[in-house]
Amino acid sequence: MTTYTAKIGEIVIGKAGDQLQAVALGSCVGLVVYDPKFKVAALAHILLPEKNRFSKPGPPGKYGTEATVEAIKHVISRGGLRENLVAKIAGGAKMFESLTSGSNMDIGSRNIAAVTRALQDNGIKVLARDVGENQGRTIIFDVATSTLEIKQANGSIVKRI
Amino acid sequence: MSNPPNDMIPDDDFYAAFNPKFEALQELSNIGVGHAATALSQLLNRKVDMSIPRINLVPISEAPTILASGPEETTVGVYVQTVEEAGSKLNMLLIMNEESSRTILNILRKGGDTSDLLNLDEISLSIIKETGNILLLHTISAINSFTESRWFPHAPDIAIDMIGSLTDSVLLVDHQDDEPDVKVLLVECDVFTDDGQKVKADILLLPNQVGMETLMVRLYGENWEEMI
Repeated sequence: MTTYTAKIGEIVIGKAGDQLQAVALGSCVGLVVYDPKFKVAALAHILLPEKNRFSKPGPPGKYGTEATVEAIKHVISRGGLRENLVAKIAGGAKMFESLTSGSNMDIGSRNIAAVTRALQDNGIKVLARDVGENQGRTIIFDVATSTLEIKQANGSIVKRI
Repeated sequence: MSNPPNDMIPDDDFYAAFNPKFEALQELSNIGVGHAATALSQLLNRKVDMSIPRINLVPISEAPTILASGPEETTVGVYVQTVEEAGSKLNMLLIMNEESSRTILNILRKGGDTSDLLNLDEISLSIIKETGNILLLHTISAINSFTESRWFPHAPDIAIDMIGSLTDSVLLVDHQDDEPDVKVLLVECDVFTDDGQKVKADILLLPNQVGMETLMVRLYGENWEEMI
């Protein structure tokens, strides 16, 4: 079994027998788009909701809106069928209370909202989500079983969705 | 009440690691950590000895591997936002590893259960938060006096979690250009108590663009970018 890790802003792709992971998500969001029938998946480690006028070009998984479209393309290019695609999302925590007020704040909630909207716009159903709260998450997606494992700070698996 | 040492002589490692480009920053950190050590000495009610702080400009995405074994290591993060006039911000994240947090709790709250840092009670959490806050406030006051600035701190915030989750959450606060490899100033410091206990507390200084410009211009002059 091979494990592919998406660092901040990256998208990794896998087939049955592969695991896709994103480590220590805080306000970042991990988005998995997959075809459960043909066993192809893409995992994006998303940092921000969308581009703004100051944004510089970045890796494809950096912005929620773009990353969603990119992830869909990747899965289709690897043999996934558009009509089979579904998604799971995790992350978007609010690690520090003081980051919730003011204009530029609570990136976690904004990330979740942006990804949810982008999935909706592309007609992709979210089958499971473990988002928000104030806890960091490491997520591991098993492409063969379509299971998303969520681990927290002590390293134990707290849930499978 | 014991006093901190005031006759510290840097060892050879310090000179070997000395980077003249960082002279002003180094001096600033020395003063900041000196102030903080005095405060810590008073708080812990014992003599403390500090290492010469190591200062570096690092991409924040690399901080988890510099400060810990990797992004999943559990650490304490104490976060303080500070603002000056004209949109100049200098946010600070203090990172303390599990062992250091236990050391502080064992000194300040004898008999408290520190086995599970992820499930501390309110009092223990508050002790760690305030200890971190004292270190940060002394650092900011040193920065203010050294650079003739007036960064004003907000109330502190604490989180105990994977270090990668802590840093990714403060990564782009106040950064409009969305650059994940934005350089932050990292001040690493070890503090030893006279009974041989060690506390390692590292501080990430996260200025926004205006704050970075303000800080560097005051330290190095208008052409600071050529000097760093």
